[in-house]
Order: sequence, then C-alpha cells, then structure tokens
Amino acid sequence: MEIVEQKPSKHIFLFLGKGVEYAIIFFKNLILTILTLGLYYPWAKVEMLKYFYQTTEFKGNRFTFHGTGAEVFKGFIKVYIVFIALYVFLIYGTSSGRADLALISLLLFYVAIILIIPLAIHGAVRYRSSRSSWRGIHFKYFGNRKEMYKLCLVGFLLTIITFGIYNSWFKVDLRKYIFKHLKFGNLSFDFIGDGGTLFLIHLKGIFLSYITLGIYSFWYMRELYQFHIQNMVVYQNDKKIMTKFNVSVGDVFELIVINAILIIFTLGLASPWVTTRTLRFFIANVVIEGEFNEDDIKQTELDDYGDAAGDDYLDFFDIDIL
Amino acid sequence: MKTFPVKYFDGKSSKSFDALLTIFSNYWNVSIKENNFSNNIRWEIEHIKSSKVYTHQIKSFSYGNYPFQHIEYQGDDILIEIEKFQEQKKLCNKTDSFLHKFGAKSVAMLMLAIVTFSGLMYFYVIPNVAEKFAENIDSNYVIAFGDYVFNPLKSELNIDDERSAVLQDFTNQLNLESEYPIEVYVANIDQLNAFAMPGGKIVIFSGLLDKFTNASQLAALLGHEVAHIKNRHILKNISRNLSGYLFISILFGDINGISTILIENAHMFKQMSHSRTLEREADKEGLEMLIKNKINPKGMQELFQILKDETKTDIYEKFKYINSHPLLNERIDYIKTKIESLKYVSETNQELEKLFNKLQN
Repeated sequence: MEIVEQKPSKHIFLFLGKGVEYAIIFFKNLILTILTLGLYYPWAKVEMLKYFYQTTEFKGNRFTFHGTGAEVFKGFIKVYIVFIALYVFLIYGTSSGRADLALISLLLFYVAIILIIPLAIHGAVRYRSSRSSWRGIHFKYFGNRKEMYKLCLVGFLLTIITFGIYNSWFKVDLRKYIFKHLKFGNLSFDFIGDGGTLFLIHLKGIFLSYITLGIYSFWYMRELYQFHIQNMVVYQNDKKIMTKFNVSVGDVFELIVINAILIIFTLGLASPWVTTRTLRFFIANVVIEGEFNEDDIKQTELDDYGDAAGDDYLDFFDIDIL
Repeated sequence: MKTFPVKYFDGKSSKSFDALLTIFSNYWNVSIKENNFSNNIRWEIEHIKSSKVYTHQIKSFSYGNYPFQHIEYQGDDILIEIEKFQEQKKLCNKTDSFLHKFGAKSVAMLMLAIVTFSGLMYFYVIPNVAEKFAENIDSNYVIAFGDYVFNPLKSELNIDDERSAVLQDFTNQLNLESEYPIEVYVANIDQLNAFAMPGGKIVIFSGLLDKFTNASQLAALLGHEVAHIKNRHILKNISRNLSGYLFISILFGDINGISTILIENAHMFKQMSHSRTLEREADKEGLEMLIKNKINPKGMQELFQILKDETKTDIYEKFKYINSHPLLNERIDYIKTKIESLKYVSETNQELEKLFNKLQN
C-alpha cells in the first residue's frame, strides 16, 4: 500500500480554453450546420462539449467528454419524431374548428410536455455523467426514473398552485436529488442549500434590483451563483469537502457588462469569446476546500449509457441542468 | 524511434502514471516505469480513439472498452508522428490541424465565409425560393389559407351585407381575369382602408368607399387589390417573411437575444422596401385592368388624390422610409406619366354607374 500523503487543503480548477481556438470550432461547425440544414448539429454539440471538457484542468489533468455525434444524433431523431407528432396533433386539433377538440389537443400537448421533462432530466443527467471522465474515472448517475417523476410532478403542481412561489423549493429538491444520486468513482456528492434561502435570495434580489433600477442585480447574480455552487458538497471516504466560489460584485459586473457589449457591437460574432469568458469565470473561481486525495479515487460500478435523447430534449426546451 | 512522455490512466483509479509512448505502424506501445512497478501495454490501432477535438498543446487518446484507458500528452508534435502512418489517419484530423495552425486568420476566414454565405442566402436564394414556392401552391390551398385567415377576422369587421351584395354586383361587371372567384365585402368602419386576402377576398372600409365620387375610382381600387390577389403578393410576402425570419433565427437563435432583436428590425426594413415594389406592381396592373374594361384610368389618379387629401400627407412625408405604400405624391406622378404614355378609350358603363349610385345611397 502507498502512504497517503497529507494534501494541501485548497484545490483549484483551471480553464485553459481560448477564444480564438473555440471560435475556429464554433464557426467551422456553424458553417457545417447551415450547409446540412441543421443535421450536423449533434456533431457540433459534441465537439463543443469535448473542447470545454478538454480545456478544464484539475490537478494537472483534463476532463474528457466521451459522447459521440452518432449517439446525440440518434437522440435528436427521437426528439424530433415526438415533437413533430405532438405538433401535428396540436395543429389538427386547433384547426378542426371545434372548440372541444382544440382544447383537448392543447391540454394533451401540455400534459405530454410535462411528462417528457422528468424523463429528459433523468436521461440527460445519466448520459452526461456516463460520458464524462477525469483521469479515466467516470461520473455515474444512479437516480430512479419513478422518483424523478414523482418529484417533478409534485413540483410542477405545487409551483402552479402557489403561483410560482414553490419553484425555489422545487429547484433545490431537484438539485439535491441529482447530486445525491451522483458518483464520481467512489466520490459522492450532495447539495445542502434549502428552498427557503433560494426564495429569499430571489425575493430580496428582485425587490432591491427594482428599487435601485437594476444596480443591485449584480449582487443578486452573485448571490445566486454562490448559492448554486457553494452548496455543493463532495465526500471522499466519508470526509466532507466543501466548494467555494470566490467572486466579487465587480467580477460579476465585468462579466455581464463586457459580454453584453461584445455581443451587441459585433452582432453576435463575438459569441465564442463570450462563451469562453463566461466559462472561465465559473470554472476558474471554484475552489475545493478540505482533505482531498486526487490519486485515491477508484472506479466503481459503471453505467455505459449511450442514449442522448434526454440531453437533446433539454436542448429543445432550452434548459440547462448544471 | 521517437518516444513521447505521456500521463497514463488505467481506467480503474485516478492515479496517474508517467509513461513513454512509442508509435509503431500497427500498434502503440505504452511503457510505464515507476519505482516499484513497470509494465508494457500494447494498444492496437483499431481500438485507439482520439479525443476528436483540437486544443492547443494537450492531445489525448483513449483505448479499449468502457471504461477506457487514457493517455494525455502535452504538445502538438505527436500529430506529426501519427501522420506518418496511413493506417492511423483516423487519429488526426487534417482540416482541424490546418485551421488551428493559422489561429486568428482562420477565424477571420471562417467568419467571412459565413457572412458571405448568409448574405447570399438571405438576399438572393431564400426570397426567390420562397416566391417560387408561393407561386406554385395549388389554388385550392391558397383559397383555404385565405379562409383560414379571414374567418376569425370577419366578426371584427362589422360587414355590411347589403352594401357588400351591391359591391359584388359591381365587381362582377368587371372583367378581372382572376384565377379565383373574387368576393368583396364592405366593412362598416370609418377608416381609409382596404385590403385583399389570398384566394380572392377583398374588404373595403366604408370610410374609404364613402369618399368616392365616381365608378372609375372604385374600379381603380378593385383593380389594385385584384392585382395583389392575382400575383399572390400576400402569399409571397408571408412566404418571404417567414422563410427569411426562420433563416435569421436559425443563424442567430443560438447566439443571443439582443442581437436577434436588432437583426429582426433590420429584417422588417427589408420587408417594407419589398412591399413598396409590390404596391407599384399592383398600381400598374390595376391601371391596365381599367383600360381593358374601357374605364377611365384617371380613376386611379383620383383614388390616390382622395387618399392624399384625406391623410394630410405631411406627416407621412417625414416617414418616407417606413411607409410601406410608396408615397402618395410619387404614386400620383407615376400614374400620371403612365396614363399619358398609354392609348386608351373610355366609355361610360351604364351598368357600373347604376350600381355605383346604388352603393352610395
């Protein structure tokens, strides 16, 4: 057995992506996507993910995304078949000229979407986890689809009944569930934030941003980022490791304002630079604190899950899980 | 034989091993030598996967089945070695290496390609394809589409059935040469307005109809609207608009909301300038219809004179650019010169006069 040495207690991530490098990937893929009328999109998405994983470094080694364009393409086809079927049904219902039929088709459309979302989240988290690795160790999501359904349906229902107030608790519950069922080799995770805190952040943030004509929104954004990141906890051999997100309000201001300026004055052509700036902001400011041994993570049970449909659904709804 | 110092991961634990990689034509050799441990691992070419993405310096490869063995190498020179072997072509992408070699120049080139291509598509290919599409839709679908849009609108228009019937008789007297039966409606609304629907429906607002003093003015208006219908202007406009908008949202949709809004507004301006050409076309064909029916073409000129007098065009003059009807003065001048250049005979059509009088009482 090796002697496990005492590691320093702070561990940082590096983001080494460069705007120019990503711009080449971005524009090359944009051309291919346009020329193929969108069919190239799955490959473009995979290359983007691979690039951002491979430019994120922790302890001298990069992350790897193992997904393939073919996997994402298959998911993409599934999503399109489902949505075309739903839209055909919806259009048939609303153009039939009968009010009852229109109402039923509209209702069914929304019910179908509500039923798809939990499935999509489950599939997406499982796919992304299975396809993400660092030093050859993979993530694994072992959540249960039925439990996810229950959580989401209760969440949707209570959110509607409470006119959106419950949304904060729902989101936190969802995060908790995902993190509790996530593993990286033999590391496990948790999310320790609570819905009440998130709700108060929103309430205070919206109120103060409103009366300060938006100036407070930078403090508000910082609180939101910190809530979502600092409440993540990692466990290695039952030892708790905390995350810190050390950004100042000035950093948030710089990120948002410069991104906006870049986008407006280039009509979007600066988008690859904006993406790399934003990722650097999030990745390079995360610090892991605690007793942590990066050489002692063991691959555990594996989940070779190649169905990217969930991930594609979330793309369709424009939802980002993490 | 060149060797590359790499980091090796066995797929079982996160421990990294320092190893030396040697590339042979039909396999790779990963040789691990640490204090108390040494091993030679053979990677068969067919099971090696490259990370398929170009990042400066770092190159990574994986091997075998899930979970993969994995190596990382700092440096670009490994690609040169790989490129020497035909069998290993799949492990490096020439296009990517080429593009990344030129960095910012490649970005500029790719941007230029996108801008040129999008420009060509947006200004030339898409509008033309969209118009061709609109031209070739079966008439029955055009009529059905017109009904689909018109029916929900109808209840808000406050249609005057009696006057509509007289106007219909008036219209039927004219030889309009339309592929669809023309249906006309009088809307009881006090506004200077009239519009045509795809598939043959025309609505004239009572506010405009009441201003007419003779039958040729009304015939001129009908001629103008029928020209819109015959040329499928509305359908072409919708088709151009939608496809142009779709193209823009595909192109910019992924980028960001603000730029989308800016670009949508530019798109609107382009559509407006296009509408002006369509209006001119309808004016011209309306005029030709009047002449064919032996109606005095001056009716068209008078029609715009009425619009001009009633709208006090000063306000409109200031918005020359955003007014979709070509400016009334311009239109009147155009019609005047057009009439002067045409040979025409006009006769008084008793039937039309009778119906016109009935309509105005």
